[in-house]
Amino acid sequence: MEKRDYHYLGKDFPRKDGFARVTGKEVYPSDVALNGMFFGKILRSPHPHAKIKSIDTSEAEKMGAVCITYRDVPDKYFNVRLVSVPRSTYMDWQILSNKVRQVGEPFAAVAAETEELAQRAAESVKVEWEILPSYLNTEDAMNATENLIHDHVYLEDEKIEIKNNIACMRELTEGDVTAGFKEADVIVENEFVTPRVYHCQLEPRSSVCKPEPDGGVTVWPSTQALHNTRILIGELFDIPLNKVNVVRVTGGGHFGSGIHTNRVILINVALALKAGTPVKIIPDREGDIYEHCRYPVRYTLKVGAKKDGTLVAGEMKALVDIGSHHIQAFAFLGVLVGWWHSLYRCKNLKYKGIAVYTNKAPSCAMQGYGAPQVTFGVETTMSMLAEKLGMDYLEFRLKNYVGLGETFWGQGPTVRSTIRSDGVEELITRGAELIGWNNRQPPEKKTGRYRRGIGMARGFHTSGTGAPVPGEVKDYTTAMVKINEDGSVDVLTSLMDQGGGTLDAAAKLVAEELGVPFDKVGISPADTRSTGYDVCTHATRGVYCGGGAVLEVARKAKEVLLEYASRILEAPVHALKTRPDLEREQGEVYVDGMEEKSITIAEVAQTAMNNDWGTAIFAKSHRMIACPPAFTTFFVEVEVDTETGRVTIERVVAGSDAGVVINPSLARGQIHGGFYRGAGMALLEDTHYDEKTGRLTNLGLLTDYKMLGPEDLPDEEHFQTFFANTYEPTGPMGAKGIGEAALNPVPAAVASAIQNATGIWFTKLPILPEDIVKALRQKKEGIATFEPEKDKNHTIEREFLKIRSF
Amino acid sequence: MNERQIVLEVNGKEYKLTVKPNELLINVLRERLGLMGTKYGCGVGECGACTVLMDGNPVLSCQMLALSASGSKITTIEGIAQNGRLHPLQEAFLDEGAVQCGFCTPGMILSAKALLDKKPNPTDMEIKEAIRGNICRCTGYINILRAIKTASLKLSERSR
Amino acid sequence: MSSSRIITQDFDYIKAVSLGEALESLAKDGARVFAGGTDLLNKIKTARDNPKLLVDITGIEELKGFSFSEGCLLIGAAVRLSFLEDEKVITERYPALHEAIKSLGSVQIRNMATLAGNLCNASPIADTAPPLMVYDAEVEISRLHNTRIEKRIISLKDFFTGPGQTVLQKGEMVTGVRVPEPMASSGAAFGKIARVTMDLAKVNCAVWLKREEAVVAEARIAVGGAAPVPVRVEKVEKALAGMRPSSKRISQAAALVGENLSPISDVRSTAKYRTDTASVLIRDTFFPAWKRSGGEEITDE
Repeated sequence: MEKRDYHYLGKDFPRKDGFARVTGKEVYPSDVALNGMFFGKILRSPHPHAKIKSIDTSEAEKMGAVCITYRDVPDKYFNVRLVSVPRSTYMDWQILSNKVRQVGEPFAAVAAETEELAQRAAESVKVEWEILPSYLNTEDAMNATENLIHDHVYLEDEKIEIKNNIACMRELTEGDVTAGFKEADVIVENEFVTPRVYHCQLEPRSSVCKPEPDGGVTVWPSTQALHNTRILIGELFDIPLNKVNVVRVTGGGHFGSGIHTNRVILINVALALKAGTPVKIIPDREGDIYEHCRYPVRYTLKVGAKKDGTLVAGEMKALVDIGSHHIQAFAFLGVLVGWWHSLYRCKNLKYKGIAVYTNKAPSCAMQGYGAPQVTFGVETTMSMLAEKLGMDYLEFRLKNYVGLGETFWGQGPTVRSTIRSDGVEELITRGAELIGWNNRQPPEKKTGRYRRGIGMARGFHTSGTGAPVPGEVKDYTTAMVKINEDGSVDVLTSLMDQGGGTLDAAAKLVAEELGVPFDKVGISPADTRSTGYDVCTHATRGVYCGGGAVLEVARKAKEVLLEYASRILEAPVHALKTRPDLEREQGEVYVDGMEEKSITIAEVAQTAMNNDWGTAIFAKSHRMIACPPAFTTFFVEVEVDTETGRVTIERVVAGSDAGVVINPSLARGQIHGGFYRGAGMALLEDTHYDEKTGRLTNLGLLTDYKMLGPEDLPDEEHFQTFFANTYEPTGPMGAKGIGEAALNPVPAAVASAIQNATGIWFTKLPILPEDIVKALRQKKEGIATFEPEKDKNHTIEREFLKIRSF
Repeated sequence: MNERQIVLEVNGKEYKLTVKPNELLINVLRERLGLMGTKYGCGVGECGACTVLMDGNPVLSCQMLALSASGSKITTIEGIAQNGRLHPLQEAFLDEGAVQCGFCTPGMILSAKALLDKKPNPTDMEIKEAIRGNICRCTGYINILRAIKTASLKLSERSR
Repeated sequence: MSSSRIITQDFDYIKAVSLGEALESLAKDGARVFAGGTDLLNKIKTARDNPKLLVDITGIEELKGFSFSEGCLLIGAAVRLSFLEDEKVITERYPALHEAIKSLGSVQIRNMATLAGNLCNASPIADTAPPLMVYDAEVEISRLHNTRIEKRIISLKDFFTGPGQTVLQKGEMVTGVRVPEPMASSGAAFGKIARVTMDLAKVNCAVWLKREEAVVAEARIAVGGAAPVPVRVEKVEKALAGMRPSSKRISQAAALVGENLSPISDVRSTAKYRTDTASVLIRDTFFPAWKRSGGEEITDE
């Protein structure tokens, strides 16, 4: 297989769902309106850790509202994220509980005819609380021996006692680290801290549920995972899955916050079942912000290298503050080491990771799933090592990166495949040229108030979680392709498009394969009753795994089509080809070498129908058997105002190795967007909790959760993007992923640029102006690394020592 | 209690409505008139998803009482296309890949429209200032800025 | 509990057609002036206020006034910020105010919010407060005495009494802002440090200078975000008066600002950073103000 000329791949067309989106007609979960629909409101805890002594909903009921508390929901433990296999899925969630574990945790809900009535009803509910001691940082949490956030959790049927609020642990050793460090000529060791970023998807995660007369439910949720949501609802509410229909609706942004089934959806189902009428819940922003955030990680990273630049040993100890519940921290601890392992070759590795409960919003996947966190430390360490060895950053990276023919860990230690396409060298070389890397001056040469700096970092994300041997993570997509009687095509799949253009890519692959015009390929509305299982759109798997499955099914449908055509054209199937006839706006089947012998696809389909041969249709599940890395490299130039600490991003050069690029302008949009969120993580975004009240210091209001705006970002002229000229042999027509890769190296690249401007390595994100001013002051005293503030009692080393099992 | 009659002209159509003083314009547009293109994003005037045009000027419908909008002309995203033809801004947003999840798109297009109506040939800086009150969490703004630029060129060609 | 999606509090609403009617209504318990609503509705939505009556003043003709005559700029309480930002008088004669308005919120906010509202909200970081303070603005306050409208004028620098608090008494409202015409050979500028461009300030400031030849004859400097109310920083003003400006001397004078400040640490920044950058901001803002006063370019000597 190799690159060829495509009709649609690599070309821009208005996205198929775009018309609805620019005219205000797109239906998001918060826009679904049904007859007799009630409005639901969630009651959220004002306390970080408390038990309900009594709850009185009688006033609300008098007002005509339907109320649910922990007494009205199935008493079952579960995990909201069903991506991993059950053996790796810790269960500590209940739909509602008589115990709250963070401010903002739902403990009851009401539904009423109007939103105002529902809000008033919610305000009338009286609760008596028994306040428990709360733990707003990992140290307090790990010191606790009683009043734990969870006493026990479940792993399948096994009941697991929780000690010291430690949710789970994971370790990995390869080779001999002690021996490895002995070989090292230089060693770099630092502690890195990454922030608790809020997804801030623009639509608060909403849901609509309609109870059906047959005892089932139809749900329009905000989710990235249609079928997992269905399975969870079926299990929790004891409804056979054929009566649980989850409908695909466009979400107003996800960024990972919809991989798990948000509890709003489950509360919505419980409310609607009790109300006996459809219910819609649109959380307010100040509620949504307590529902999810990016995993914050504090970790030490020690890496040793020989004089020639060979890496000889590495050790990482990571502490993850997961908040009130487990949204698959076990898998997360696995990917932390996985990303590190796959960035640079090193025989001797040791890793320990701990996930700790605290009384804060539960942390979960957000674009990159640990990769931005790990890449920040690893890339910073690589640059420091290169400096110590007197090597150029780029040369050092080219020497050590994991590339062609080597093993890539796509989702922790259990998901591995061999790298078959590798554009890293091209990304680094061309990026360096475009930014002017060779003219880069060392920090010592910079003077004056405003200092420019150029930095770089590289990274990747996996394309899906497929592999030759299945691991801890499920990964397949089901699709159906149907050729209609007029030659148009329906593609039916439960694959989600988060806005990146996944479904347009799938349609292009089908158009290309069948040889029909792109606008003749339609993406059918989907729900879980009419589609087969798809694990969900996460792990940058949309185009590679989802598109791969759709393409595979299109090939099978084409076989049926060509078999019909061979009867008409009286030529063997293997002699037949298809192509779009743009004049007739039709696809046609022709005999290879005898092109005058042709027939439109519409004619084939009609003849097949009129002769009762059937429809050219195929449905099938398909799993990709690799997880190719989608590489990216970012070169960033910043200007630092040394007096105010303000960082301005002056220039960006972003290179992406996405294999064959299907939607160029949307792919560039992924890079722009990834950079924007990554730069926000580097310079700005974080959430803090008041240690006394347990509340977010931003009070849940966007007034104080700031993101970079159009005036804070470089414009197109100063933001160059380019794609490596690669072809992924396992991918659909050579494609692999892009989404998360567009963010992963960004914080590291920004930190590298700030270092080049100031001479200071920042190992804590975000790098705030306050920190820069302070660090520059310290630098005058000779300190060149600005480390996270270390409270004497709060070091990873000390905390790890407490864990005897390590 | 205290219900009042108001008259709103929304997308060229007149509505007589009875509202209470505490009703927000966004909820009236969405729940009473079924104009779901106007979005709730933050409720405190930061995100701009609820932007509508009031007598041609962008305002925040979640920061406005329906009563105080009485007598004004409101344009929502549903009122931008004329006779089934997309506005050049809508076309440009599609052509330039300026739409990802699309949740910010209605407010963004309305802010851009108000700008182009006043200043057909804005500078890049003016475009950025005009949309600073509209958060897009997906695109990083570059394709949006390009779309607005493209639409401005298209509009000025048309008016020539 | 409350919600930013919806308001459940019951209140009455009146759209006043005359100042008399507005003032009469404002005398009632729980009455609030309602203009742009961008601050007030957020307070209601987050349960920080629970009014009984909103008195919408945006329909009162006499409060929509905007005039510049006899050496005084008059801005009625119902005038929206977006109207002011494009006004030639302001751009040309009050550039510091123009800059402050442009930096405040978004187009949408400025299309709704009023200048008087920005002041009455009495945030320590109200962007329009520092420039108006250095322009020596006054606030016109009206109230009803029996049936007669009484007005009093107070200097803006005496208007704020604490975060969210002003000298306004029950039944009183701000009906206008008066700004004297800046004298010849004077110049002013506005500066702001924030997390991002569209943001509330960590610190903001305005510098006003009266120049005589190559010397600062008089300086007025106001800083927001570094004390419970926006403050004039007299230490710096005094140090600048009579100075022949040089980069070094300006820095030395600006560094005195800390003595006039009492900042706090909060979600937006730290007290230390606010103090440190206030002096940088004053220095940075000095230069355009000096230039606007007609001063020669300042060299490093």
